[in-house]
Amino acid sequence: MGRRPGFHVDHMHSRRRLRAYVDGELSTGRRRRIERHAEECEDCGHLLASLQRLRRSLAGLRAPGGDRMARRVISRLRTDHRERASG
Amino acid sequence: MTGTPTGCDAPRPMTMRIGLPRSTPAEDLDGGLARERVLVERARAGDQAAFEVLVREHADRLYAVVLRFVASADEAEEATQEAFVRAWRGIDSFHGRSRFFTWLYRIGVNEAKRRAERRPPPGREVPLEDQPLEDRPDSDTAPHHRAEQAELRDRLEDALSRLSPDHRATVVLRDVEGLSTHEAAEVLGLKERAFKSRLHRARLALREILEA
Repeated sequence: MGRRPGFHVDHMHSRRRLRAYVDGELSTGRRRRIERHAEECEDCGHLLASLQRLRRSLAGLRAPGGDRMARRVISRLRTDHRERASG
Repeated sequence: MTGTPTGCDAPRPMTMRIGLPRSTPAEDLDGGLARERVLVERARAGDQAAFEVLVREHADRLYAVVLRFVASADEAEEATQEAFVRAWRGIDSFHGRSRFFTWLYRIGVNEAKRRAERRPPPGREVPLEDQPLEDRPDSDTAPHHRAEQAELRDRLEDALSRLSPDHRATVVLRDVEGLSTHEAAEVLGLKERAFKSRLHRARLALREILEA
């Protein structure tokens, strides 16, 4: 299958900026350039989609907050202080 | 590592004060930073209550990070407590050039990585279809869907545990805990450019493990 002129340049551009794309650090113009390339390049399209899904899944691993550990740390700090203060 | 406490033999004098500024998660960044500075200054002056406010705000999140590097919940608790004890004893060496929590996380992550590097890495690889947790078509209330979600989560956790401690730290701080690039780089003592490069390599390594 023939490639349009500039395909290789866009390919290299996209590869270098995939992380920045995934992290939302690119300007609208650069984002569009990568999206256009990802539509016609199977490798880049697959990698981009895969990295985006991975990021979403990783965000889902974040444990809910709580205060159990805070209470234990405070208890340890108070004990530590008492012991050090008493020599 | 600059700004990391190295211990202090003399017990810090502690005082108990009231009237600490209050905040909510929705407060603006400047307000949060100002409040943090007040708490840190009071803690530096020996105010235990002020330091305990900082403990309440950060202990459980730090524990969640540390848990991803060590062998057990008990060891994670021990490492988290150790990080706070070192932070309290060494808070005079924190000069406010970064956010308090990035300084604290650096202590905790260094302790966790030190412990992780003492353990051999897991040997087996775990295959995982390239399927995000959120993209399943069924209702997330269906029992079979919850079971699949739990299984995928376990596989992702397992794959994460197979990354090197350096790679794992970048992914955990940036993608799991949601720190900004600037904050996560600061925790790890890296320039942002180096952090971004390491993060990309870490994600590719994780993807490779998952797709094996």
